[in-house]
Amino acid sequence: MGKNAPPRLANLFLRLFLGREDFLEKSGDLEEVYRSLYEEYGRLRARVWLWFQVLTTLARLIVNSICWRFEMMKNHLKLAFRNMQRHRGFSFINIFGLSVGMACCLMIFLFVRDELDFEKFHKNSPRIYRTIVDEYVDGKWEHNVGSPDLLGPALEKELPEVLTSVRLFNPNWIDKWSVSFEKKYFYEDNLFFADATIFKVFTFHLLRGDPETALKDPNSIVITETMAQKYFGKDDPMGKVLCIDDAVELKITGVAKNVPKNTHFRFDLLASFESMPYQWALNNWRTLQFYTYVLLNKEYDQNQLNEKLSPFLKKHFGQQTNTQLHLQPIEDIHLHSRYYNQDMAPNNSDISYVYIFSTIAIFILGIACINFMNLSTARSAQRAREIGVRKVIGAFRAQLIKQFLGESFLFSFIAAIVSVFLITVFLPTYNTLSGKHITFNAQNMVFIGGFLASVILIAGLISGSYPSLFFSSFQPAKILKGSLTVGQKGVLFRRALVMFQFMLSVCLIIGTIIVYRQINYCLNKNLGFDEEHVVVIPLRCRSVQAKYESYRNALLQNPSLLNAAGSSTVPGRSVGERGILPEGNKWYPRNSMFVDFDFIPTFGMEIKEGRNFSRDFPTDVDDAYIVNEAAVKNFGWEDPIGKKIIWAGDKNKKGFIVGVVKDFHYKSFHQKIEPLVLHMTPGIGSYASIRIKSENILNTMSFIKNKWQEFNPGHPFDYFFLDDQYDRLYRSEEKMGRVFRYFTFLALFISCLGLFGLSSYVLEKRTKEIGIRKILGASVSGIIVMVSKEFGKWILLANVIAWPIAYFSMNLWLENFSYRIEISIWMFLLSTLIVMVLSLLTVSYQSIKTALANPANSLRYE
Amino acid sequence: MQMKTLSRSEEMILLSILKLEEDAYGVSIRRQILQDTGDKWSFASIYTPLDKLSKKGFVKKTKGNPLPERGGKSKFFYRVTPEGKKALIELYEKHQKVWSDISHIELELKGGK
Repeated sequence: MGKNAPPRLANLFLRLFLGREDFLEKSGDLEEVYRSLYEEYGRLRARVWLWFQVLTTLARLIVNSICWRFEMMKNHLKLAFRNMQRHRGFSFINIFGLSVGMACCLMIFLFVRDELDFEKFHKNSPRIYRTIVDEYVDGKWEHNVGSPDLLGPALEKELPEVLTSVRLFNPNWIDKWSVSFEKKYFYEDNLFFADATIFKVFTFHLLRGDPETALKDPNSIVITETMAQKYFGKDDPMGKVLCIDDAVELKITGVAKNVPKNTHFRFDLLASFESMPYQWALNNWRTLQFYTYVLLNKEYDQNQLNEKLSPFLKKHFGQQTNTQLHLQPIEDIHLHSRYYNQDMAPNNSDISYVYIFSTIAIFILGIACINFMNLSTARSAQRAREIGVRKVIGAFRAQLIKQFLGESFLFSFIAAIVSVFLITVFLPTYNTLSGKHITFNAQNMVFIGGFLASVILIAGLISGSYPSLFFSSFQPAKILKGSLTVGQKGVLFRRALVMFQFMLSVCLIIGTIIVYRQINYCLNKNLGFDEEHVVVIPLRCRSVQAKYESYRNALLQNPSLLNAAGSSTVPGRSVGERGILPEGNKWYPRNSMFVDFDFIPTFGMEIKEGRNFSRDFPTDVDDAYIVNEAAVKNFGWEDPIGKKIIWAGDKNKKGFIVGVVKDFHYKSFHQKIEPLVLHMTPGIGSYASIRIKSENILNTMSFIKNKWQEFNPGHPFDYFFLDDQYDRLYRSEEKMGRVFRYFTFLALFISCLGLFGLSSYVLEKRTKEIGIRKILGASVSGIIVMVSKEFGKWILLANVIAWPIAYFSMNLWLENFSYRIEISIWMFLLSTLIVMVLSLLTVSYQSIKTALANPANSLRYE
Repeated sequence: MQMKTLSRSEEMILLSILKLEEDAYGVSIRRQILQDTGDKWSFASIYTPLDKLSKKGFVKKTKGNPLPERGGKSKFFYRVTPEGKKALIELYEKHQKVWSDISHIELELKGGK
């Protein structure tokens, strides 16, 4: 090329807009002059000249070519606009319906796109896998995201495919960590203890510090920009010392860029693995408390690797193990983790939502397109004369097809512009609704542009194809004679289309009702204990936990506070698992809680057999266990009281069962009540739960807060009500329900628009008939009933078709819940009623107008 | 024959191509116009009329050999077709007719000054 070659970008520009030959000619000419200018005046001047020429040339050529085509299209375009003006109502319904459909569809696809984009920012994302430990228990496979700490290093050592591994520790039984800087305390959610290899596996950028060494030394920590701002403001965070739990001191060795939103693993603080305070979890194969990720080499073979995993696991878990190991691609985590226990990512979604929403999006777009098609067909009679004349003058069929297709393209183009406007207006609302952070970034803009272009193309084609093919097949002689009647087939087809969209609307309404009922059911069902009026205060720091007993005693002085209990977790929060060996059964990680004497009375659970932990039995401390009914059944015990149990830990603890508690829901209704072991260990609770009287809650709360500040100065007072916590378990369903609801409204709105258009067309055609009927003595109400009946028939049929579809799909959704409502007939009847009323109202506007019209006028009509 | 009329810029370009004979391509046409009229035309204002002329069939485009000073791209030479020549002649005759009618006015103007 040489140094005096013109800038490549300019050539690229030309190439983009010109054909091959044109490009060769023009760029050649320009290059020739450019080179001579370069020799004479230097680079800058030559470049300025070149760019000027390129841009003006392109502009002129493009405008020129459009002008030529425009000339040919001008007539069609003019007619299209005239038509639009003459039928303002129709055009408005047409364009508005389509643009609402487009906007909805686009928003849903932006959502879906965002969902599918998870983890892609990691440079090695196709080669990063998470280990899943599958266990065969009670005749079914359980998939654990957690893995033992020894797994990662062993994989790295024994399998050549594994380049490196990283372990993360932030168990879900710790809801927040207490982090302090110079006695100023904060609660942090996203604190992970991680191996130094983390920056090799994942792609996180460090603004300060060296990724190679940042987490190498024990007691080092990397924080994000946001955290740096929060703790130190403008001061330099490097080298400062943060303190976790008042016990572990960590020096800041790096500042990371904030983690992108589209990942399941979002940290605010990353501490070196060696400083992990829960040493009991280390060095064994039984506690599944760590998240292990591996980075595979480039040449790995999936099948070969899978074959190696089984012998590998047998070597470490024993030949008879009921355990398997598999690797989950990191890109699957966000959408394919539904069946996995113990997930660390609360914002995980599910692929089924992606499917459901995509289906809805396509439905809505489909409905909008159908309306468009319907309305255009409906107007066919009015355009018939124009078509006849065109044909007589000598228009080819292809030209007519082109004209009507062009018209529908014009309409969908206008609709696309309106839809962009709608999206801009509604995006913030949509973001709060869906909990996403979709913005108009460059990538999304490209996507929106591409999407709209293809929708214009598809919608234009689909919605324009039927009318254009239909119109162009008219016989000119018949049209001009005026004997053209829109065939029975056309009417049937139009009605079928309207029926189809009402069927979809009915499905959506039934879906909305069922989702709403199920969420309500989850929120209101008896949980097996009294979840109201319980204040829970997380105790996030050892020094706070140590003061719990005295804090409790001080609180109970107040008669408004009925009881208080300490426990390792509370119902509704995630429950930890411990390796437990019940008598006559096997070692297995089972749900377990540390509780104290007051746990069961405070929450109001019922003892079914035996007794509660009691201060009267000194041996209860450390030795006593209570299990739930599900556990008794699971362990195969006939007479549970007095049965022995062994609890895994640094040294295995033996104990015995003192009581059985009635089953209560400590997890969401998605899961069956699982076996649960309550272990009596006072003083190490990470939650204080306080039952308060229902009166005077404000005073009581301020009392609790004052006492807290008295006992724990410097520590923030953070609390929640237990029933709120339960509500939160169904947040994703609620979110889905809300989105569902909005789209139901929209679908219904669009269907009604369609029906409105159709009914006004049909009634306009029947003006004369209705006039004659009136003259012959038909009453206004009689005519309205007649018209309503005709439309009602079809909409009723739509309902009947929708019912089984809705039933099966919603039944499928309800199967996600172990505790669910039954689908009953009233839900179907209600949705039918809603649709019938709405559609009859829609039709009635036109039918009343027509029925009230003076027959003298209507007979003169046409 | 409405389509056969020529615009001023088309006329200029056709004449330049005629003058350049074998060597008429984008750069040389532009240079020729500069020489003849002293006006500097942008490439854009050369290509658009050239395009129209080829569409009307007044010029014919042929591809030359690739050249290093053009970055390995060919020159595209233009020749005036017989139709083009006819159109030029028509135009010339029209001009003459029009001008012959008003020559004395022009002389008057010149002389009156």
